[in-house]
Amino acid sequence: MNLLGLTFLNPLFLIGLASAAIPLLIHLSRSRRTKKMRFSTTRFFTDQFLRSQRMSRIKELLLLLCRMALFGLLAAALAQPLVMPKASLSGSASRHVVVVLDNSASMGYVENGLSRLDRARSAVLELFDGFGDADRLTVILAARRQDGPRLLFEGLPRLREQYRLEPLGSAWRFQLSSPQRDDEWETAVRSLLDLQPEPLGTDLTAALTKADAFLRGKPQDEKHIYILSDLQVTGWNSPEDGQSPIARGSDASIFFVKVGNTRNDNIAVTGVQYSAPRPMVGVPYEIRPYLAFGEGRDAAKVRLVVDGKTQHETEIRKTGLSQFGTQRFKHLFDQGGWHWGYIEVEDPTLPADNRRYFAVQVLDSLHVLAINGSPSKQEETLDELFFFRLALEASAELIGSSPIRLNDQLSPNELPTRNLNDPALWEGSSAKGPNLVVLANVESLSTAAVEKLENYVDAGGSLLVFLGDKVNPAFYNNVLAATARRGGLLPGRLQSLVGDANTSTRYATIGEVNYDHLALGSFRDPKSGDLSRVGLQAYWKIDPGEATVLMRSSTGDPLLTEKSFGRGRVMLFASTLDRDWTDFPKWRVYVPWLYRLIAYLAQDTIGRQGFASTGEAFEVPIPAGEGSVTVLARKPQADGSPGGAEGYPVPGSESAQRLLFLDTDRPGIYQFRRSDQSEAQAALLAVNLDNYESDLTDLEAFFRQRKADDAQWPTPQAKTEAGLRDLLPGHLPEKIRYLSDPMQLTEALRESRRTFQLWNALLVVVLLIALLEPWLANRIALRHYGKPKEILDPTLGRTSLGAGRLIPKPPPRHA
Amino acid sequence: MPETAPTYRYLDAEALGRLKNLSLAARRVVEGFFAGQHRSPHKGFSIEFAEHREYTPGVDPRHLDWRVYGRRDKLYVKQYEEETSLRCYLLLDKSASMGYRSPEQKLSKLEYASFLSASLAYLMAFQHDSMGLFTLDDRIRERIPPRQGSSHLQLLLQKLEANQPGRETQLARNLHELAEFVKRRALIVLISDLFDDPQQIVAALKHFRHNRCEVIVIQTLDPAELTFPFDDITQIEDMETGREVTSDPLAFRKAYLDALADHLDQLKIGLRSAQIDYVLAPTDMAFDTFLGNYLTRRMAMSV
Repeated sequence: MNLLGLTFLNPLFLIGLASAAIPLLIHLSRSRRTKKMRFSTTRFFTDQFLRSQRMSRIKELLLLLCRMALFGLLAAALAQPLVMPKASLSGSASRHVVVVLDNSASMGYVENGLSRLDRARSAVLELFDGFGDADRLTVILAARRQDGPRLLFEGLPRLREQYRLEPLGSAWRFQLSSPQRDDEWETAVRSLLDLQPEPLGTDLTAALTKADAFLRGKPQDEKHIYILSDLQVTGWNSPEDGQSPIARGSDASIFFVKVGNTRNDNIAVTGVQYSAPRPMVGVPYEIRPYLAFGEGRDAAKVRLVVDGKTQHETEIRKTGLSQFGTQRFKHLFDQGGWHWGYIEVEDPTLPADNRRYFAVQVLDSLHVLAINGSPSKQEETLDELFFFRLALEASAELIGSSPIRLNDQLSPNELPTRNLNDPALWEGSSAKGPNLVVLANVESLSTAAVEKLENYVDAGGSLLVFLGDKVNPAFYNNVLAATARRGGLLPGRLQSLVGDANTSTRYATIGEVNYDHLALGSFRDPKSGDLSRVGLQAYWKIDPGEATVLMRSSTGDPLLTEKSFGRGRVMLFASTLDRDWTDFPKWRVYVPWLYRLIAYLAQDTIGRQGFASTGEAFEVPIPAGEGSVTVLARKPQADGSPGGAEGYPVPGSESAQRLLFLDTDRPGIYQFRRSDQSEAQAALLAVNLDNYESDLTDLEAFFRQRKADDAQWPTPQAKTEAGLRDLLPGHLPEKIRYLSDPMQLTEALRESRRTFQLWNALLVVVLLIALLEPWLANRIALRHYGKPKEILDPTLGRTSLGAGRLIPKPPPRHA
Repeated sequence: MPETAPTYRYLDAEALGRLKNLSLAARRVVEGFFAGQHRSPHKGFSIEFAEHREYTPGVDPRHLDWRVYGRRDKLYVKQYEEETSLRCYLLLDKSASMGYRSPEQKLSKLEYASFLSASLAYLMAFQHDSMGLFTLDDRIRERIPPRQGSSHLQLLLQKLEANQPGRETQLARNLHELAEFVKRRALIVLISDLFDDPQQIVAALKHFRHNRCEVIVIQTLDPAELTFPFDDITQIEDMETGREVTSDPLAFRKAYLDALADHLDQLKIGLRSAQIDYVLAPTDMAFDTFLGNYLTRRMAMSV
């Protein structure tokens, strides 16, 4: 707040100025009006007394002014006024300059052969070159890191007599100008000269907070913070509580210096969509990169690299008016285990965001346990699982063997007696249990079997239920769907059989499908198959309750429902798995539909693939080892491929079993394995540059757009400055400047205003007045109430006269 | 009677009663107040023999001492010591300043002085002493010579009753004039606020002493004059001169009190040197208490 050329940090205290009226009010309330009085004699009133009385009035007035000033000045001091006279660069004031230097990935953006970081560095060194002897430089890096912004060096003086700084083309160098060396100084300056953009995001807010905290208590007269950055909008994170990142009462001058132009012609891979968390051997795996195109760019070459080999290369063009373009890559993994790769776009402007790494664990087999409720040994085609088996074997034709291992030998009655985790169920496999249990037209199950299934699903297993003519609705509703049994396993209750199973007439077709669901998303594309052509002669009408409906019939009845049970999932299809009630198996879409459902249900139980961003801690995908077993980590190599330097996971704060990995400065593939595992068994994890970092929209463009209609700020610079001041509420607006070019930096420093904290002077004055006031008050009181000469009574003694009131007790001191 | 009966209002029966009791104890020692205990310095024809002197023609032959004539053959006349009443002049200052009464007080200085005068007059009458009353302002207003008797007492009381504050004080001049008037030895009791030049007052009272009179000065002052308790800005009008002073009493209270103390000091020192008994009587002190205290002190001094 500005008033009378002063700036007040706490203007609310100005209300206290009204307290200056308190002494005045007391004075006026006690002011004595002239009265008339007849007195026996005036022979004792001399002119001298009358003169002293006038002096006393003046002194009283002075005392009143003192008291008013005491209150008023104290209120003014609490409001913390600042005076901002102009100060020259060569002034004697010492400065501590903190440069918040953005070294995030976006600062590697190259314009006219120079990166933004190069420009920022030149500006810093030019600034440093103009330092006085008492000035100090501190550099804080604004790249986003788990442990906060990093301090490059602090309190560096300009050793003019020892070193000479000189520009060398676009760069700078320093030379020794005297035999005296200062290794620490050299190291600090060299760290600045050698600074390169890091593949990290930007966190200007945290860096600014750190800079402000750093400057607190520094002895220098002036404190400056220069933020040299491309000022990406995404690099500024206002605190969620709406507070300013700057502490209240900070007296630092803050300069936002934009490095680089507003033009954004960058192309970045900002996202990659994968068709499933984990691909299966033999199942085409879809990888879909999304490219963001900058201004003037509409096409780019994109490569899919898997395990270090280029698999696909194509050109992606911008779609329509949007800034994005995409392309589907399909890759068939022929081996299980961990695979890694990346999507790469050719774009020289900002190399850091050209790649997006991925790491996937390809499953070579899934184990499905199918309980057949209607087996047929005479007529194979009448067996309930006939088409199911056919479908699962289909992929074998493509890659030689099916990734899905099916066990369909268990009858409903055997289920309670067999251990589901028995490896003997899958001969020649080391499976620890089925990934999925399928119930196909099962009439009913014993309570023990139901409990076994419940425990299996609760522990993370999946169950897929098909209905049919055998099912006993009472069992399904009262046992499987019984809410009393941990909420019910079945996602819905059977209400009635609709349609006629004995005719071939279609009662309904498949109608509405939830394509947003991971399992069904690919059927949005007609190339994957047309579900709407599937006819249904009969099906159970299902009341889904709280379950999610994924498919409905053309009449609107639920056909496929899903619910979670414990850590697992259960799906219910309202019709048959074979051709009894539906013509589904005859359509081509039957096979991918089944694969999608199986893949979704089976994979989900295994877990989801994690992705992480550079500069952020992530959870190590394998648990901490026990005993002598430790977890070994390797960081990526320079090109991002796995097998780089060793890293060291640390125990997480929540559980010692959950390890965290903090050293994530480099994008690429990170390897983790237990010490008792081989290198080939190591789990992989892809770490990529935060895709926000690719959005080069800067704050100037942001504020220009936001304040477009506001005529108060005519220039983009003024608009941006006003916007930045909004970002730092509570900080003096005059102390927040915006420079759109680093070349303006030195000039701005020259023009920078040195503030004088007037409140200190005011407090001194208040102290002096506080000392003066009692002295003056005593002077007046002595004049008024000083002890007069004693009047002795020769007759009655000195005290008895006037009933002891000859020497009057002075009345209370006049306020 | 002072309040219910307008007449003799200065004769507070209760106060006088207390004084009478006191006088019984004091009558043997207090000169001037109780007749019979005081031997007159003038020789006269009384019961008690004093001396003989030679007969001269013209002297009443009844006073011849024939016994001496028988022994010495000379005519001698017997002289007797006269036992006489005290002659007391009560000088009451009735100047305008004596009319001052501060709001807290019941009596003005003049009223207080009148009470004292009445009490003293009664005491005198009780002891068959003669008492006169002179009231003074810029001149001598009332002149009642000393006499005895209850009718005279009534006259004094009536005069006191009718007494009103007069004009400006010319105390010293009036006292000189009175000193010329009082040739015989007498007791002079001056009741005044003494707001006049202290040197001149002392000089005038010395005039009485020169006539071998005993002088008692009772200075009546209002407590407000002694403490100056005012704190409002006030336009102060002098009751005698009419001089107006607008001032802040707070500002010069100390100076006023110092000046007053100087004034009183001068008076006290001057009067003491002239062997004049001086006593200050503030008007907030019950006059009987004051008189009782004063007489007690005089008794102690006499003993």
